[in-house]
Amino acid sequence: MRCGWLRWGGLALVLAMAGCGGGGDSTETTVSGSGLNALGLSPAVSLSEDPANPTKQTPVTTNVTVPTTGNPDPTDTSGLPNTLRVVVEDGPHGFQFSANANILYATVTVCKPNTTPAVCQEIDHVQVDTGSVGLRVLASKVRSLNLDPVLLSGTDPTWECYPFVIGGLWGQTAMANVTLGPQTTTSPIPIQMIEDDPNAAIQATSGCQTATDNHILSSAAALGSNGILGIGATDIDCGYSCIAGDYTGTYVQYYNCNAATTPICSAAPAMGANYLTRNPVDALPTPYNNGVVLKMPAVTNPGAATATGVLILGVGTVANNMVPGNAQRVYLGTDYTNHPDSYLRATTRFNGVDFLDSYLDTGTNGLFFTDSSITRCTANVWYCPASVLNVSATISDGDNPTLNPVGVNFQIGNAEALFSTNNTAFSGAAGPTPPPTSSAPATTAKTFAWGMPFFYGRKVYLTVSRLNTTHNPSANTPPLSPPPWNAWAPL
Amino acid sequence: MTSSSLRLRGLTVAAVWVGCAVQMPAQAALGEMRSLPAASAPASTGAQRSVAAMARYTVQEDLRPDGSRVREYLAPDGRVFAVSWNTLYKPNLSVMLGQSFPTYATAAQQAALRGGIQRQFRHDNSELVVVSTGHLNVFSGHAYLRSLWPQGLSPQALGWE
Repeated sequence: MRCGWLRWGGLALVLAMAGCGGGGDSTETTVSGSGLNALGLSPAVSLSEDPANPTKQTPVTTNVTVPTTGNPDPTDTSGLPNTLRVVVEDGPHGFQFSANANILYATVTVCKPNTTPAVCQEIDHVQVDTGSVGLRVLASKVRSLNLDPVLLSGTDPTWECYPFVIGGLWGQTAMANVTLGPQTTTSPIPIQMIEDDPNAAIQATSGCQTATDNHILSSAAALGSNGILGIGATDIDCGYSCIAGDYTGTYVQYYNCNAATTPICSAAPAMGANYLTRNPVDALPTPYNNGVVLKMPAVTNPGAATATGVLILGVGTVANNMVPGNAQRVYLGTDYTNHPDSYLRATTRFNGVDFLDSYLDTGTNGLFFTDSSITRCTANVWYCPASVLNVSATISDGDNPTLNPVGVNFQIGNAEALFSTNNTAFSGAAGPTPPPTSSAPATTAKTFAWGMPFFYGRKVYLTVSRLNTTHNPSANTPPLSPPPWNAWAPL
Repeated sequence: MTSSSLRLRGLTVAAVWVGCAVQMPAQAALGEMRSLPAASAPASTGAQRSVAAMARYTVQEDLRPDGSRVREYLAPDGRVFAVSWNTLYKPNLSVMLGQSFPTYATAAQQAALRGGIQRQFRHDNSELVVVSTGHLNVFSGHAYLRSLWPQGLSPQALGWE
């Protein structure tokens, strides 16, 4: 029987689990691949309940930065037209070290279009997320800009419900110019203003409440950031269903809302792609708009207090974002009809198992995959091997896993030991995708999520493709162009 | 269609439902009964179709206009013992899970306390199992009721790990 402990901002909470502490049926709810994480850890258990077996290590206060001396790629230092500083560090939400693990932040500037001089707001601690698309910032951070709403002809302003697997976001969308480092979008793009005013006249619809598991993330504390900079593999955050206004079988993603009408919000009709929340990278000027390169310093066990890296705009277009000859490249799946599990994914083979749902993701704070041979921590969320494991996996293409197989070595550390330090950057943080209990039939996800630990000590190249907005799924036309891929090379 | 095949993780199964003039019912939720649809239903966009029939279960697939797919796994008596999904936005689990949804919702709310971006979820108790993942607005997962699981059927046969 497993008892889950939740350590959140120094407060230990017991997850209410049936049968905890006793025998009988097990009830277990687990999550991984997320956010704020010391949660689900068990240091609270091992330290407070088992003082005879302490795991706390001497705090490490090393800050690591992408090397500038002996840099094999010395061109991407500051002052260039396409770089911005990114950092893994403590968050903006008032927690201290160890509440956060492996959250990558950037500072983003949002400006009101058509203002001279430009009226702008700089927003710190926006989480860099290659697993979503679109800039979403707390509304309170940009309220003073009075951004114009996204308005379809003849309708009320547009609001968006953006669910994650658990929890999600709600807020109005607005037109803004977005600045990443030295580059600004060539024209205004829709961003989402995450509603963080509990007294706002327009709150999440009941449909969005259900879609987000009644857990709308509406504060820096809940988000672990002041917003999310979604720079994933596509240009817009929704395809056919939003463009056609057809939400059959799903929750509604885009609404038109007006506090004076009943109901206040109704599903948006067919929307042009230009009205959908947009990947800011895609809207930058050429040649900085076809993807990004993330360059993070190496981090060794048991981690680093902070890790400062560089986000380079554009892929293969100018000197500092060229893909080097020693880079390894895999293509993400695009054949949704025949390989839905691999769509926008790569494949990972580990310990003889193929994980079809595999991706490189800065928005995931560990390496998450299920392998029953690896010892789990008490709370079952992370791995806790007795000593650091040096292992390897093979990453290959999404649609055809036999293509472009690339070996990747990585380490699995003892998460309890890692998180007992005052560090925020951990190369060895790994855990199971929510694991099955022993009772049959036991199933798991086919997921191998290469979160932040993958990025340490590497240059990682991530493309952005455009969705074919006239794509007819049943006609099997290419849904994306150009074909999306990821590549990586040692620093 | 009178016959179709679907490649499920290396296992090709053929639909054998023929000629039953049963009116196609609305989608049923996990744990509910559903009558079996006519096999002649076209496999066109938005249609529900019978994609597999084996001794122990039948698979009903709902292909949505955006290419998303939701499947129901029916025991021989027509009861939905499992559902699965590959969707391009979060699917409406309140419809798919039916009377099991409150159990899922309670567990999900608990998991949500963790905050931040969450891309993996599993709920597992003596009766209900839900596995849910999502990345880049592309979601997949499955859910089943242990008490209704056909004896001898392996999850691998459904393409699940």
